[in-house]
Amino acid sequence: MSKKAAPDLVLFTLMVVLLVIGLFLVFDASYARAGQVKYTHGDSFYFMKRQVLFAVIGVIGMFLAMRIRYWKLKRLAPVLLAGAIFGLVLVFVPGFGVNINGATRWISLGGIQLQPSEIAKICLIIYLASVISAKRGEIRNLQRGLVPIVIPAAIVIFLVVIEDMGTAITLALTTLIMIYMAGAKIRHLLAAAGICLVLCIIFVAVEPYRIGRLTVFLDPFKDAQGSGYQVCHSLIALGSGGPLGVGICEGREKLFYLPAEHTDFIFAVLGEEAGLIGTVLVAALFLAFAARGFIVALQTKDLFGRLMAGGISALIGGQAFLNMGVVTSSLPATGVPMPFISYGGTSLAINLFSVGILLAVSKYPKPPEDYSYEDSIDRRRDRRPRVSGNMHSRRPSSRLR
Amino acid sequence: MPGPCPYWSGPAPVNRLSNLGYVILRYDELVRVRIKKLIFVLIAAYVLIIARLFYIQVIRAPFYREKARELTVRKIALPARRGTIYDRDGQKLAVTIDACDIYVQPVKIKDKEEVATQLSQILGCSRTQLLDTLKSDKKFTYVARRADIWIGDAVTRAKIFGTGSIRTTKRVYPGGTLAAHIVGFTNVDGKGIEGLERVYDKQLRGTDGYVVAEVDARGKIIPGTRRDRVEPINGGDIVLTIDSTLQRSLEHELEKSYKAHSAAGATAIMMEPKTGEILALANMPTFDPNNAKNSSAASRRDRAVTDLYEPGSTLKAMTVCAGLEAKAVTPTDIFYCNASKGIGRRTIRCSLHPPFMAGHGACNVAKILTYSCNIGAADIGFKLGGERLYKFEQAFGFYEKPDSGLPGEVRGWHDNWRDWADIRLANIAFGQGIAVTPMQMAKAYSAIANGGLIMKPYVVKEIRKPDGKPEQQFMPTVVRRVMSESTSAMVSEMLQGVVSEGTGKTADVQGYRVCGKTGSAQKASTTGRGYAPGKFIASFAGFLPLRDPRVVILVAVDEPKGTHWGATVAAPVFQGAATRAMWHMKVPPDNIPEAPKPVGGSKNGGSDTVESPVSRHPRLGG
Repeated sequence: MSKKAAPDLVLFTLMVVLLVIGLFLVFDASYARAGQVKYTHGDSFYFMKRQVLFAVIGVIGMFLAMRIRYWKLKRLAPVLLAGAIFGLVLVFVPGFGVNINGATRWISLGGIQLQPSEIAKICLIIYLASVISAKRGEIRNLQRGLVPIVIPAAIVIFLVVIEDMGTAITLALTTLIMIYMAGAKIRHLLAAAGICLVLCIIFVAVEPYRIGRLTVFLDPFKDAQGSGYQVCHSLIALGSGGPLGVGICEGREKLFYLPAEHTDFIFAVLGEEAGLIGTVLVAALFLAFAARGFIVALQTKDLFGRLMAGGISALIGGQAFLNMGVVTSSLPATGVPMPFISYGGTSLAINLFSVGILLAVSKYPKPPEDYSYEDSIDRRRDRRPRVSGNMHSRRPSSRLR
Repeated sequence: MPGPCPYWSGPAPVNRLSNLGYVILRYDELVRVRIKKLIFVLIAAYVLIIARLFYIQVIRAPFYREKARELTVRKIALPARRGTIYDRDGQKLAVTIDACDIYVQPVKIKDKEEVATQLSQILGCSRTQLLDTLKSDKKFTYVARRADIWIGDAVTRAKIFGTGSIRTTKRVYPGGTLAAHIVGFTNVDGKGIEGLERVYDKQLRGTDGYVVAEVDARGKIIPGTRRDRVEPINGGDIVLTIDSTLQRSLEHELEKSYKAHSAAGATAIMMEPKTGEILALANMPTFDPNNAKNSSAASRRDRAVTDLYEPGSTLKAMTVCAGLEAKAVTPTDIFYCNASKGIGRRTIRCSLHPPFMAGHGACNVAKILTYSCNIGAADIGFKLGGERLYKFEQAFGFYEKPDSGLPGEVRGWHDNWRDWADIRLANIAFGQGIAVTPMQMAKAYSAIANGGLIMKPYVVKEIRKPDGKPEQQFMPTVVRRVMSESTSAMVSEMLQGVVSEGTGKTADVQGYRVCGKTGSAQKASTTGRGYAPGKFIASFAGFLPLRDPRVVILVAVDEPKGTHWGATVAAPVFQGAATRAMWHMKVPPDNIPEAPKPVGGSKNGGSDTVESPVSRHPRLGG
């Protein structure tokens, strides 16, 4: 029997607040550019309208996700992973892949452009949660546990690396956190982190100019017109905002000085207009959200749900952290959007959907013990009537017939 | 199923054995512990970020504020509008209109082929040339400067990324070549380069204003961020003494002669003798100031004030003035010319024309002028002596700059009279061996026309403030008296004889008594000694009407081919321009011929009245 509770209202409220801030900021940061760029046809609301559209889709997705009895996702996990890999590969297929601003990371399906690397995030989390919860303690064994778990994740991350470095780093971080959370041995984790480090070094060694890219954050004003341009303007935006900000909509940097002002660097626009008050508020909201997500993970009795909740919390908290790190020039510049706030349809919809799953986990702190895949097969073999009260009450008429 | 979670209620029922690590701990609890640790890591990470934000936004805020100020606050010039140049009747000779510059930013343009196609359609220029520009790695470059506004609007409307237009102004000369040498022109940045545009650059330019405001990264002012604004003071206007109608006709007449005789150059000046106002000034070859950069330096030269020439016989009038004024000669003195005269080892000659194939014979002063007798003029020179001739030429202004207000003026070329040998004195008396500018010559003739008073020539009548009120007005200025009124009247009568019966018949204007003198001067050789064979300057200087002269016109044609006589090359220009001037200025005729007697029937009389004065005179050779 699954115990049903109310979905976590704190999480829900935090998400709504972030979403509202995000929608406003997308408009605030983008109206100048949208009014000038050719493909928006001079519509200042262009980006905001699209963001609202995806927010609506995402909220619908969230409510649907909340209705899922999440343990059913466990069965879907391999399918989702395969789908994610398929989508990632599809980007390279001519006719599907779409190139925007020199990066090929979108696919076009019937006029809608989707970013498979964003979709891969939640798929990977569900997959990791399901496979770890099946292996349980075996994760502490390198050969039987950890390696089989990590290899599919590595494949996904490898595919994402090619398309979108920022998302790949987010995914790698999330994967490491989930393995850690799942109880992997510390030395295994250190080894995994070491492998990542070696890969990074190789990645840099192939193209030496990347060293400059990686280290520019240490002193962006050294090359303020070149590789440090974006970070410089980000810092100028944050700094000129000061403690109280220059005033909402009064920002200057978004007027074509700061690149990616409505996507990866939207936090800098917030910092300029709302000052330290605004940035600390948003940082605190993300911290509260992630912490609350981890608490949901703690409260859940089910390992699959716990890992999934932990993974989603880590994803959102970690991604926001990476974004703020880049914007404040504390980390090397990588294109990591801020969850709920940065412009980006797929990212927003998937994030909202993930929150839906998180809320679904919070709804069922104690799921039925015997929901596993094998059990359900046994149940069917027995032809025992399904005992789920929900299911029964939902379709009584069909039962009677 | 595990019991109630130990971390939430009651003490932990777990024996932690340090050497075995988590082995004894149940797996689920391991996960819970790890999640709790993660929460702490998360909080720590966010505290770091918030600390970093505090550092940037509070401690370093002044530094970044300064950076932002440097970036956004700009002083943007508000260019003043350059003033207009008007002729005496208010016709515009130079105006400033709105225009635009078209720029491209090649580094920002990806699809260069496509952009080149689109832009070449709008600008109407070569696509390959545009493509070359676009393929360079410049950040910013102009593809068209001072283009029409509609082109700029079309570029703005096309919204091609990396292209755009900037509003600016452009100097336009509606008359084209009209008065080009007087008005001059500006460079593309609106700075006066030549002519009055250069002389009065300061007055025309005005004072630029500026606005201090914040701009976005594309250089546009952010609304509501203006901090300081100083309005520009537009440039003042200039009113010239030039009369467009007369200018046009003078240019037309001069060009006709210049082309007909394939001359190297030509100059004509029309002046009002009483005031010194220059009514028209033409040079050939000429240029279009709207397209000055494609013109040759020779065509841009204002020959009227910059070029020296040996005036030849036109200077005899000055010699005669000097002789009569100094009482060295009297009008009744007789000189004898037998075609050549030896002076020292050199010989001077007269040009011989029918009916004087053996010299001009016995001449009085009037006949010396009428038939342009060199030997007679030399004799007047000898009677006068070097010093007095020198003083008179100085008084006529040949040794000083004419001070007409046009740039590039030079003074005449001469040497000290003490160094003059007899041959030099004789030569100078009939206009060789001295070099003057056409402007000096016109000025000297206006002294004869103006009763002996020499006036300062000027082209600028008034400088106006931008609001149209006068700032500075120029009035006629007497330079000095050169001769008495009676002498000038006497010489005028003699000069009238030149046109009515002498060498200047081709300059006659129907209905008016015209005074003038032809000149056919040899050109000094460019090698330094002697005269260039076959190179002449044909000139004519004169004024009309005799009693109340309204215009003085000087025409000089440089190196005419075929014929070199002032009467055939220069006098017709005078005649055409003077006729137009009389009509235009509505000068009452002073020489109405008696009504034809109806002897040959009505046919004869009728043809007389409709005859055009322009075509009336047979062209005389010499």
